[in-house]
Amino acid sequence: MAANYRPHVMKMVKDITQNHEVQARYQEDREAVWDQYGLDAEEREAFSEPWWTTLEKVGVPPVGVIGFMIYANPEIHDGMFNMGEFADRLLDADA
Amino acid sequence: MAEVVGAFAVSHIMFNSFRADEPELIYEGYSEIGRRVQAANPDVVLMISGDHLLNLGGGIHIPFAVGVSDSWEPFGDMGVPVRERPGHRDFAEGLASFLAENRVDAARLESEAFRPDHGYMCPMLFNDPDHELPFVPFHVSGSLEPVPSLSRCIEVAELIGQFVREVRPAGERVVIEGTGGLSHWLMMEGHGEVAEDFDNWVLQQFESGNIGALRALTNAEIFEKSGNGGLEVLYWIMAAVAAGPVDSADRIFYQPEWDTGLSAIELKLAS
Repeated sequence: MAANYRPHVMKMVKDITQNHEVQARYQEDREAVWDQYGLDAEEREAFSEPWWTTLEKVGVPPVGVIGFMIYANPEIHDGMFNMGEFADRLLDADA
Repeated sequence: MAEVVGAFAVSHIMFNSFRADEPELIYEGYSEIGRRVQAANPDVVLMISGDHLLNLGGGIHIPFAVGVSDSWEPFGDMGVPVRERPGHRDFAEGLASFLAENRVDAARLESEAFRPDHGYMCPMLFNDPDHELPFVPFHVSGSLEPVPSLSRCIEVAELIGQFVREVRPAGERVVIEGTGGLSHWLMMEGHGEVAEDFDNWVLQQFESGNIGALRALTNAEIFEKSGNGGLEVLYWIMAAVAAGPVDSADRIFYQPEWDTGLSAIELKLAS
């Protein structure tokens, strides 16, 4: 269970999950974002085909992989989750 | 002294209903916990869970933290509506101070630095659809290594319970809730598996009030038997320890769904 997190990679993943501007730039030109965060050749290759099997090798923790996969592809997030649907039902039940 | 008027443990994910085999069972299970929280009529909900690298991690790794803010804006992941909820600064500041006096230096989180993610806000949506009930998020870093050991979590949980019972004012009504789990292997070897046998063993220990068996677990054992996501059972065990002696638990549901052993229980406290 030893961690081999890479801080600059973690920073990029975290910014993609948190920052809409970085998300948008990543979708438009991911190589520019890789440049910005200083990814090396191994890291670029991993993010070219992102999945836990590739990303864990460049120091992304599992919870970061899931965040990256979802927020680098917002359509996935919007298709999978809609707690608002349940919130509306709960409010109706509460009324 | 304040009173623990309810104690619960519940999973904290909810996908769109079309992706589930038994969406109503899960929705109803979460709703039942919410109804029981409301019936307890608490002044504050102390929720023990963990951030999913949406606020903490990356540049900072915080093992334990108390959310002290007056109000909380959800991160909004999983489609949780971004609508403010009240915090409880007096309770939270007091808890942080009490922990510090007792050799636990938990970080203090303000809303500028922490927007609670689905780990807190999915369950709170069911607890309080109207966004009126004050809640205090208590963060435990269960998703980033090194994860605090279960024995350390238990020490912290015992202090949380002591704080509620010995420091908080008489008449205050507190609900303690741990959220997460049960078994899931998230983005690692075994991704998608659920350990139904281990989950049921865990649930049976809660149901029989055998918290000692759960306290005897180690992180390595939990990780091996229920995956990296299964470590979120630390939050359940912490809730049980903090709430006080547990006689038994009422299992609301258990359903393997969305690659996770989903469940919800009410912890029945010894009188």
